[in-house]
Amino acid sequence: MWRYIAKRTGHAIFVMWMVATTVFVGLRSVPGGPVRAMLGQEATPSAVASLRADLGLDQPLHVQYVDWLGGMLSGDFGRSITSSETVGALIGSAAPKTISIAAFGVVLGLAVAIPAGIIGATRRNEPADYAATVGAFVGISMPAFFIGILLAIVFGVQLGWFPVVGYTSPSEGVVPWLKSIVLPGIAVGLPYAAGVTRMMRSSLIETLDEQYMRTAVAKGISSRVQLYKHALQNAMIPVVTIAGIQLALVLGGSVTVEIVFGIQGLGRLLVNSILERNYPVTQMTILLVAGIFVFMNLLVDVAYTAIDPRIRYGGEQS
Amino acid sequence: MSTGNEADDAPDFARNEGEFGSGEVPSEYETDESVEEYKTTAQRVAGVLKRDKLALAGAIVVVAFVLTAVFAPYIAPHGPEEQFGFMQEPMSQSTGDFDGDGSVETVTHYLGTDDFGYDVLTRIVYGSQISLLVAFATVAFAFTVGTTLGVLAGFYGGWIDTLVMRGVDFVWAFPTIILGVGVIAVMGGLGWVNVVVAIGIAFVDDFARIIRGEVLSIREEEYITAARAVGMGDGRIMFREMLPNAVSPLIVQATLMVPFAILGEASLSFLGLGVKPTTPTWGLLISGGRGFISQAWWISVMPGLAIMAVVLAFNTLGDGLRDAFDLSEGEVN
Amino acid sequence: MAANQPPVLEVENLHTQFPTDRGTVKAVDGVDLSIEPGEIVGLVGESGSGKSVLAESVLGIVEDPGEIAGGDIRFGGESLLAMSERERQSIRGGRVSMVFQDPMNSLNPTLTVGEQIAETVRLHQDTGESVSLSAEMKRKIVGAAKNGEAWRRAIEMLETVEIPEPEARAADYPHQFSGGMRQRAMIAMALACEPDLVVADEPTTALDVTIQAQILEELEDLKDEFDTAILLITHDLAVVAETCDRVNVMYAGEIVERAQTEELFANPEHPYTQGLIASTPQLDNPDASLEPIEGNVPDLIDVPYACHFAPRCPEAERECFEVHPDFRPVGDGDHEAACLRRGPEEDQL
Repeated sequence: MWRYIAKRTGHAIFVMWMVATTVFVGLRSVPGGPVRAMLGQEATPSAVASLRADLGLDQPLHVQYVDWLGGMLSGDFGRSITSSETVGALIGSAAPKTISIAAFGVVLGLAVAIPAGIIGATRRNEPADYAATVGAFVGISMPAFFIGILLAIVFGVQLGWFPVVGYTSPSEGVVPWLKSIVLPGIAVGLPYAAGVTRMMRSSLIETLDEQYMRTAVAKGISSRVQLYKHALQNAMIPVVTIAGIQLALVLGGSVTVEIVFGIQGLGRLLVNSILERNYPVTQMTILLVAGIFVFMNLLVDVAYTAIDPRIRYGGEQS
Repeated sequence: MSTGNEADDAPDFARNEGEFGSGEVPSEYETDESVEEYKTTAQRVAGVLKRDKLALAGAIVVVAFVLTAVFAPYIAPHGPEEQFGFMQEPMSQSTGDFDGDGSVETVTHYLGTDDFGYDVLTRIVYGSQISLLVAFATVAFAFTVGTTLGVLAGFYGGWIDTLVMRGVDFVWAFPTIILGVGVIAVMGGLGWVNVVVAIGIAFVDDFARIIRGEVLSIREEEYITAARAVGMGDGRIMFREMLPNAVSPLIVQATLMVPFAILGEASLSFLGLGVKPTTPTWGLLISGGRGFISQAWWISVMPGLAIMAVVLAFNTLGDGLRDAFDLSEGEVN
Repeated sequence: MAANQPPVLEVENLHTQFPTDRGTVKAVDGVDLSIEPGEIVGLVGESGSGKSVLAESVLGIVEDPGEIAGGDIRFGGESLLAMSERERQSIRGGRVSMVFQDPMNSLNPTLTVGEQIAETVRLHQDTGESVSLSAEMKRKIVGAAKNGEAWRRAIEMLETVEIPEPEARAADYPHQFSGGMRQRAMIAMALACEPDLVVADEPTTALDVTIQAQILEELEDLKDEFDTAILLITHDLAVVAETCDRVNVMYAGEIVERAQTEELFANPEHPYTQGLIASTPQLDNPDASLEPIEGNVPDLIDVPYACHFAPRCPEAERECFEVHPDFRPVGDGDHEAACLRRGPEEDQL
């Protein structure tokens, strides 16, 4: 098992390095050069030159690369072009917001999706199943930001239960904080939950058909024990996979949902930095998001060891 | 034990001779073996559409969507820049001389008007054009790039295969919107092509995977060996022999991909990073109405419902097609 | 064998059916079968003969939409069909248990082997350990109580089926066992509650030939040790010849012949049995020609002819298609065959 985890961690680090390099190369290959893009067409050559020197873009490429990597590892993430704050500070204030919303969405999504999938599988073609299936279908048919808008209209504007704009930090109170992340959390969590529900349902249906379930029946085991003790863990294995893959939806969704709710999270930061050609911010934000993504997938890999004994304990010993 | 061997070649163990030997039955018990009919692709699709009501509904909406986009100027009740009263509610009416013919008429705004006084329904109808165009272009892009990569990977195998598929896999798994945003950043700006590439790149994997699977499975087949023996070049083999077999999963995948492309384009537009045509896309319409959700919720909600309807339609149609072509869920997303 | 004990199993005119779009599949079409305490009875048939469905019917685990449509199944004198599902559930795994064909897939990959044995013990015997849902879930997460009686019994059973280091092995998962060991574990599971009857459905088919012999031998030993009757279902005549006291031959949903094992192989009477034996390679007569039985096992949907074997039978007469063949005494002992062309002279066609 440890070998497996070590392998996955190594893989994750490799992927991060690849992403970093791609970002590095990508942002330096902007047509016309990043500096010209940042300053605009009318920039004077001297302004261009001085900014280039400032950003270290006049050095040979490999020197830039090493400097950049080295800087990151020692905590220097560069400076924003437009505001003079360090990128680190900007990201530091934006990240907790995005992470809160994403985490809330995932937890809520799983809490809804897994029981919904189980119900769908055990009460096939009954009303409860149809409700779950339709819900799942609808969940993946709407862009996250639209869900956010609908929620904002109904629960924010009409009913007034939740704030429609802004994020309240937990330091100002847990309840206000929660209230500020509920609606955006649901908006990113719903498409996520939809995918997980479908997989849970179909995986459980398949599992219940397996030969070892017949054995359980033949032993006289009650149907509830069959479901929870015998079937569920086996059915969860593909669900863990999907839960990991779908995290991409949560991260992607938060970008647009943050705009809807006026939250200054990583999504807002990323988009603004692109519109402003604020490349130092852009590259670090993308890197961070990729990092969160890779890390979450690593967690999923580790989760496998808990769920599938075949991974935890090696193979045959006769 | 011989029973006097005539034409009857009864096995040795048979003690008596039966009136009916092995495999023979009295005529009244004869049964016809029914053979499963071969159905052409078109027949199977028609069959599914008849059975699966949801898929049929989906197909209808899809057709309506395409027609609306193509004939937008004729279908839209008004001009996209025609102004009426500001932020009027759905099903409200305006009275006035709008077509400049001197007489006063009353028109109904089925979906209301927005903050500029434009008729929402009209804007949605016009918006369908770009949404459709971009979505199809994106799928076409992903299709082309994906099948090319998939054919190369499957055909050559080895490290090319590994490299290509690993790269494609990672891109696919990465959040689409963020990827799209990143690509737009790199490509240096906004515009049509950038958006298509930005979203399309995320879907390359699905097509590549399908084609690669087909290629791998038929690579060793005899007719490929035969083609080689006759001296067919690699390229010809790949495109003439292998590609046609993968057509049905590719069609299904494309159908299922369009809704994702629509959603992706809508998201990018919403962020202000999408295409900026003369009339707004649906994503831009939603974005435009965002500031008014407390006073005029319909400005954002109506285009959103349109997106939802179209996406649902493509999804149900795609699912139905998948059934028609008898493909498992594992094969096509 | 006490003469007054009722048979362990008595199947009487059993009909098990599956409704389908195309018609009703009569998988078991009027079967009588009985097993005395301590016997090993063989049920021979090809795939499609209905033998697995018969086994499932005895256990009461026929899958939807299948259902028992007629007849009775009596276990130790009591009718199983008259019981409530609850009562049947309490018998299942306890007084009658099943060994399945495919040891690779018949054990749950996420439960330890020991636990899979221990849970039957807890359910059917008095161990003082709870079997409520919460107790089971706790056991699943934390592991079973190692000093509980059920766990100890599981280890004992593993030892009985000759699995080395049983205490350590009980905490292993099925994927860590080899094929032969998995089957042994299944047998251990089936015998853990000292059932009166074990139904073994092709217990050796999925195993290597050398392991097959070992498993069969063990089954016989265990039968004596636990005083269990066994219904051994197989398509392999060699297995039957080796292990069984009595044999029933099944074809297309019906039993066509039954006899003591030696008698059956010495004097097969029913044309199907004869054909079956003739098509099996004989080690002591390698040059004998193999005579396959022509044709295929019929589709069991509404078989229109009286004798199900008639279309493939070299001796078929018109009456065979119209009159249902009853059992006629043939050969020695209680040997009987369901064929209109067998039996005492005067009854033959």
